Amino acid sequence: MKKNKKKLVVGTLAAVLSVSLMACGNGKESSSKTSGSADISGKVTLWTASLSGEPFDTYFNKLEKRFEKLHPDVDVVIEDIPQNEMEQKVLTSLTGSNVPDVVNLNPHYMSNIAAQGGLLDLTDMISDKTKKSFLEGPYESGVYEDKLYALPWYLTTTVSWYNSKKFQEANIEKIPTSPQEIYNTAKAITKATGKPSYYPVINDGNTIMEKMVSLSNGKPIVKEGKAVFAKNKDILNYFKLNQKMYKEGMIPQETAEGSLKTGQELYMTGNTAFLEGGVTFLGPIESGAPDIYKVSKAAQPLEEKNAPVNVAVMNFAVPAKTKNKEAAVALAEFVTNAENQLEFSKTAGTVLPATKESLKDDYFKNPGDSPKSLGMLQASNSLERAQVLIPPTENSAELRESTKNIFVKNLQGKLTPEQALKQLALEWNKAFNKSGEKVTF
Amino acid sequence: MKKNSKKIWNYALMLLITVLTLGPFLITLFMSLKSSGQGIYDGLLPTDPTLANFFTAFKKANLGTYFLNTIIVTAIAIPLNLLFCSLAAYPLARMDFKGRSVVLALIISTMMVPFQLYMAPLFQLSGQLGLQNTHIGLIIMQVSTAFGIFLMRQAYLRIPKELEESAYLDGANKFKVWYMVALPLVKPTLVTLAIFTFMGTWGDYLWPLLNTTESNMYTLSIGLAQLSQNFDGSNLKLISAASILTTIPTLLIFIWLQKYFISGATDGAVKG
Amino acid sequence: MNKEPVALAQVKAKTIQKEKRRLNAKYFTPWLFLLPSIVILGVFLIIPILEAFKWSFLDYKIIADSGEFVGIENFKEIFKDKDFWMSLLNTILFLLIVLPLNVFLPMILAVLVNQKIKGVATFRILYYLPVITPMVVAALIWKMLYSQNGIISALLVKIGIFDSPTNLLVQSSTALIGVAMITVWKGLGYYMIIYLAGLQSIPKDVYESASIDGASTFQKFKSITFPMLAPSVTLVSVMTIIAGMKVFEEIALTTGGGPSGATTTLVMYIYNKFMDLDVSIASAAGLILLILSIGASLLQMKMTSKNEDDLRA
Repeated sequence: MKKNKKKLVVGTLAAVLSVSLMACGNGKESSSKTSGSADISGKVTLWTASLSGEPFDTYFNKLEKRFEKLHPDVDVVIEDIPQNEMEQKVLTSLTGSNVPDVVNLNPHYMSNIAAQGGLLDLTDMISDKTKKSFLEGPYESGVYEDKLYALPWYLTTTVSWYNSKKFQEANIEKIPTSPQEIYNTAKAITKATGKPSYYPVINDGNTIMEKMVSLSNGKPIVKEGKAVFAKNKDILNYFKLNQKMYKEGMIPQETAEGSLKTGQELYMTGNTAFLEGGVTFLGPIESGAPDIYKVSKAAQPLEEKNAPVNVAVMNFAVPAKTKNKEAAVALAEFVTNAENQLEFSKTAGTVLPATKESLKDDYFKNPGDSPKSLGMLQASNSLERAQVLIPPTENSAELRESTKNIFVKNLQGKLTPEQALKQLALEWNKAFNKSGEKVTF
Repeated sequence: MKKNSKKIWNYALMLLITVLTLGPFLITLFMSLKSSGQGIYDGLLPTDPTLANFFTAFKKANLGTYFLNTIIVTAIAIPLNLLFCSLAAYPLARMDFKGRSVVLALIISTMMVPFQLYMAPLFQLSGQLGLQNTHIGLIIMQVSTAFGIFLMRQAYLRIPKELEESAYLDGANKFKVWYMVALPLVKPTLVTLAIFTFMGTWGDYLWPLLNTTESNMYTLSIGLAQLSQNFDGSNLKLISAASILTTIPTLLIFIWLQKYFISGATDGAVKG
Repeated sequence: MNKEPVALAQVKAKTIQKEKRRLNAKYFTPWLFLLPSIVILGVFLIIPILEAFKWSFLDYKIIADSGEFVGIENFKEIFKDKDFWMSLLNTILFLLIVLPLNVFLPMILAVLVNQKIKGVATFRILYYLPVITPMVVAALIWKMLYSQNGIISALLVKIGIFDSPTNLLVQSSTALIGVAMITVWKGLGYYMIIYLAGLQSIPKDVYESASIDGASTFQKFKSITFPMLAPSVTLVSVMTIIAGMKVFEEIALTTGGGPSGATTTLVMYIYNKFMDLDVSIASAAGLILLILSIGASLLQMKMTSKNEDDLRA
């Protein structure tokens, strides 16, 4: 598909090109620690996650050609892997000798692999200027144990989505910004339409954890590896109201499964009127329920105006076993530079770039008026308060799982909200004791 | 009279079951024919039926190239699997030799290990043998499957021993007996195995995904996955169309081969 | 004369040679038949599996490809993990639901499509459809059927199992049953043709003489069909156990292992551990899974072995 099988030209050295040319589009030589006469050559393979077909084929073809023009001795190969199997494929590949050179990963998996030494330490290979060109939060998501392992590529923040027709039916004009308001809104809509209206996304527990941090609005929920949220009134209220809404039929029963996909299905069948999701939420709805798509609108997350929301980042990392370090790093920097990130955002039409420079572009003030584009507009507005709310930890899987299970139990009324929080704190402390991490978030 | 009512009940029952089995497939078909203006939950039948989804799916998922790869692998795997499995299963059913139970148990137990556990060592092995990105690399997992051996063994157990024994008395050696006597008697099972091998190879996903790093060697199932896990969210109409495109060959093979299941008759010459 | 002892000796030698060859053939022949399979399975399946199981006794870091020997520490850790026990329980419950259904329902179907009636070929094809219906779409449809305002929910209220419309996939008590039904549905055609192949080898005249003796349809089924299908029953049972212990897709697409772990099976437990790079634990759990599968299969084979022994070489 995107592969160019060019023959390698062995012999004359390529012209010396500065690394910063690719980084920020300036002509200045600013790379400090990489060798000045960086004549990169050889084959570099880059893996993307679920970015096949148009319009991405054209985008990556152009990207490939531009990079190869800058470095005529380099042969770039871009392959696409279905994202659900990306982890398995990367993991398996890393056990062999023929590893990809640049891989598109999510931060959680990146930290797992980095912990076992599978990723190249980029800290000294990337210039300070490049490092500063990224937004702080997204940049931090590529850092593990104080070392840089991945460069941020594109991101999505939380926004809220709602079916404006149903809102009209219930005479709702404002988006709720607190759990109590969510309850009131859901009640009104369910009364007017006779169907469930609100869907709290649970996923694998991560969204609930992020919600807890948002609700806590500045106060940490974990201090030095100890869970301190059990008495938090706002979080307790949130658990309480969710239980109430589930009981009163305002939250559909299918929420117990909690995935975003189920949320999309419920939204398409009209069993959910509003929820929080990422910028790409509307994807399946465009083809699956075109009538609902037309009346879908985006808004700010269902939080207080200044409460932090989560930013989800997609990164590029370089496996440690790569056979072509310089070219791999150069390519990674190239793909994540401001110009290419901006182009990618425009191509995808939904996600945001992670470089400060590209966000200044006028495009984000006026991305068009399709429901998807308006979602991007809302996302760029909430970007200011978007952070990586939950840092990657060794015990993150346990934290998320216990959160998911206990939240569902709370939802279904199997625990009182007080019991739920108490139990959750207990489980978290157990997990932190086991891993011995003393984080605060 | 009684016979007629029995017949009617018979048909009624069979039709009822058909609803259960045909239903979801029909729904898939209807979804693939829906136009872009109609939602997937919006009524059962396509209001404005179109074949557009099929063309889009074919192009978008690069099904042409992938089709070729899948056909090559499948076409080679089926006869080989039939041969090796029917060979291997014979002594396990008919010959008494030291280590028979161990071999049988070993073979069956390989089916009980989840693929994820050994996919990494297998991958390394494939790399060392130069089988990555090759059709052969994909075939090796489908040729001489443990299931095939097990299936054939059970089939051999069913045929009456007398026929083989009389052949031995006539002086034939084991291979001849196997080829001339036993094999023809297990034809229905060979047909079954052919169907299953086709299905297994045609729809094999994870190993082809791991073993190929060049997308022009991808198989159909990978193309399907790329479509369903699309960045832009899953377009269920496209996925339905793509699924039907990729499973029609399986259906055709089944329709073609099932006629070898002759009703109520037997292949054997037991009276012989 | 002298020729006689020589001739005798020659005949003796030839006879001994022939005996030797026959014995050799008897000894080697089975292995000749098995050769291609042993090579293929041995190299590409058994060696990787053994490698993976080696890891269960190490603290194996897969990326670094290194690990120190820890003996049975991994197993100890697993046995202390309540998630492991829960997934084990779920797997056993799942099998208990699926096994009887998978043994009998497809058998009935096979008998139905083995009849010499008009249109039987069409029925065979129609019954086979679930096998080739893509799981992605099948899961979606089943989820719709199970949903709170779906058909099945209404039915269950009518027959009194639920007080109010409930999606049985979200209740921890019924979720597993919901998923099991999907598995059974999907496998109907698959096991049906295994049985069909088995039915083909039952000679017609056995049925005919039974009819002459006045046997009813049910009696014929009980005394002829069922016993002669014993090898097929064994196959179907063992395959069900193996497939049941590895069931993954339908769970992932419907409940994701929930609610609260009610549908997380042993294989999902292994998969999750593996994805979290807890490879040693995953391998150890895989070894446990293997032992359990073998145990269950042996048990199953013992139950049908009575009938098989009559047919075995």
